[in-house]
Amino acid sequence: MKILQEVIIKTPLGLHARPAMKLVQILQQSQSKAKITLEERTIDAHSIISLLSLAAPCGAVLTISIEGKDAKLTLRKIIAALSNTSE
Amino acid sequence: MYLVEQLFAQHAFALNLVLRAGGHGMRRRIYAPEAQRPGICLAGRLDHYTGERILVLGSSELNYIASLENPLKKSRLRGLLKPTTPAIIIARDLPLPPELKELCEEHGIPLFSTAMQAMELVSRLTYYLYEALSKTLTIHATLMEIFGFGMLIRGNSSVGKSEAALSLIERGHRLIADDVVRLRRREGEFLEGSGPEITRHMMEIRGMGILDIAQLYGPVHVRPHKRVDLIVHLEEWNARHFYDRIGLDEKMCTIYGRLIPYYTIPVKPSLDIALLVETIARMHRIRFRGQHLPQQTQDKLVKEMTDKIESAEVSLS
Repeated sequence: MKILQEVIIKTPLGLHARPAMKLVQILQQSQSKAKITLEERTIDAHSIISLLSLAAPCGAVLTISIEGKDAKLTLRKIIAALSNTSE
Repeated sequence: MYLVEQLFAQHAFALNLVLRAGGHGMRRRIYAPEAQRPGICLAGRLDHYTGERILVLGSSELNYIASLENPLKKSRLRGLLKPTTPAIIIARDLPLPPELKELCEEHGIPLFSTAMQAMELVSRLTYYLYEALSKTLTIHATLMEIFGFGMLIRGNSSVGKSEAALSLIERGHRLIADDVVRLRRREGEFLEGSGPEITRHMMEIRGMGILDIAQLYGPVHVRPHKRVDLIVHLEEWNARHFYDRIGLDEKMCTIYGRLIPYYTIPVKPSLDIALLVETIARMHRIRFRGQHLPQQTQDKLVKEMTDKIESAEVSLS
């Protein structure tokens, strides 16, 4: 299954080291592959350096493309991680 | 998107730019990677004038402006200032026409002056703007300089690209970017790769976290960008897959519209990937000089076999 969804970053400091690590962790445990696009830049969401290189601030809209057996569940976990306002 | 303030931040020193007016328009967008000398547009011929380029005014333009009387002078200058005009630069530190200063303030168009000559300014500016506005493609790979060649190492995450890169750095080669490589098509038909500013020369090693290679190994082990000469694809060893055993055919792959030599290396835990990648660079250097060992061996073999047949035929007759 392949899902394409726009997600708004709600973590107050944006996609900094901790939420990026959380994302990598979620993807490592899942059987899906994900890519993230921000302003014409598409990166591999499984790499921490790639995620940090986006320098995506709070409020930025990421387009997440996710493909795999558990794509739906993984996407839900990613959205939860990016919506965590306490990070 | 590239803004006037970015151009100013990156190149103000090299271009000797000083802001004179219209500072509140610094967030104007630069659409075209060119600078223009308005020339005949100052005479009111605006038929093909789009106003999307940075305007450079030299002494000929300023002399002409000075020769105009005031209601006309203002209207001609106003004609140049479009909502899309990014900025205006006065060359040779020539005195600014007060009307132009006033109009730039009014329209929020940054007005700069520089000590450079107009023609040199146009060419330097065009070069910088092409650099900044050319499209890039971001790919998941590692880019290293090995024996002078730019080697793009590709493969799935966790195949060992970063570990191989670390080992190559240890052997004295240089890192350009790990994990995220930005490719840009350059003039002269080559691809140039670099890393994003924020994570430049950083590397993630599982269990250790993020490492700064420039700091750990010293600045001689990194470089900001490099032309891509070769691609090495690392893939997990597949016993059923047939890998190249002779190396007679050179494989090429198209990446971002450019044809580049390509090698596939199967990886298993016992292999020293860095050594293999380094050997590819050595091999490529020899081929670069026109020597192709598999082909030479093949030619020698064919010659020897033909000689054998010929000598057999001679002895039979």
